[in-house]
Amino acid sequence: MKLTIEQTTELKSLIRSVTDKDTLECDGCFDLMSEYAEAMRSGKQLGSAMLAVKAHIEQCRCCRYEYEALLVALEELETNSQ
Amino acid sequence: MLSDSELYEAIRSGSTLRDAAISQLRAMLVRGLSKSLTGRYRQPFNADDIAQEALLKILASIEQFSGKSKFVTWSMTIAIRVGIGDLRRKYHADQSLDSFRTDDHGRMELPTATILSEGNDFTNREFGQLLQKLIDCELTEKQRIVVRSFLSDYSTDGIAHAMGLNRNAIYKLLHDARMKLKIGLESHGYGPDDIASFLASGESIK
Ligand SMILES: [Zn+2]
Repeated sequence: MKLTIEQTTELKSLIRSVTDKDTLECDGCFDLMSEYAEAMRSGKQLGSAMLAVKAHIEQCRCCRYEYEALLVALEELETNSQ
Repeated sequence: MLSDSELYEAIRSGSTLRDAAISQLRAMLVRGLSKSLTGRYRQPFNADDIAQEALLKILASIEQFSGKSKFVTWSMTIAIRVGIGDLRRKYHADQSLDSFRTDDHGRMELPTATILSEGNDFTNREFGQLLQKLIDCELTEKQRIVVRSFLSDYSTDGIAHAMGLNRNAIYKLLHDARMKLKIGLESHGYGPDDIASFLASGESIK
């Protein structure tokens, strides 16, 4: 398969942004995501478990996408409850 | 309206308020899903159906709720995963499966512009050739298939489904491939600035 210019640019970006700091996998991230979303929304200081979620979300596009969708949903519930 | 802890207690304990609590939670899920899933993966969805499927999961796994977040936040996290999983499945159903072919050993060929004629920039050209070599020699066939599928707009979920693996395994294959390529570039005597500049280059020459 021949990569397009756009795919190559994305590949470079994937290489550029990778770190070895991610200690979680997607399932571990999912288990902690609700707690993480609340910590982020309240501006609380993050403990080590929450920092691990942050590191995973920065590395994993799919978990990041789900997290962003969760924030939108929580925002909606808060708006509606006021 | 029940409070968050009342909602949890009523659903878990099966009190007389249970039906009302489930209705309240369902309504909240529908509202959150309707707002947050709109436009994602350009797919239509039915928030009631997703909320119903999520509710079954929530009820089945309620003993796993640790109380470290609000019950509604925990429930919404499950509903979002169900909903996005559903949208991804629909989205990938129309996509080509070409990137999963194994008869070419996961070959992933960089564009000629990257390998040969990236402007007159000799260093970037060398980097392009090195990157191609690393893809060919350092990555396993499975890693190449995962990387090229991801670059073909597949989610890790979608790749997992197509390859019969779980999402954790796909994430790890992708992550390890990215690390191998990064370490490979770093171990050829180039400075960090040169590498950063190559990886940031926008490849304007076609
Ligand atoms: Zn993930």
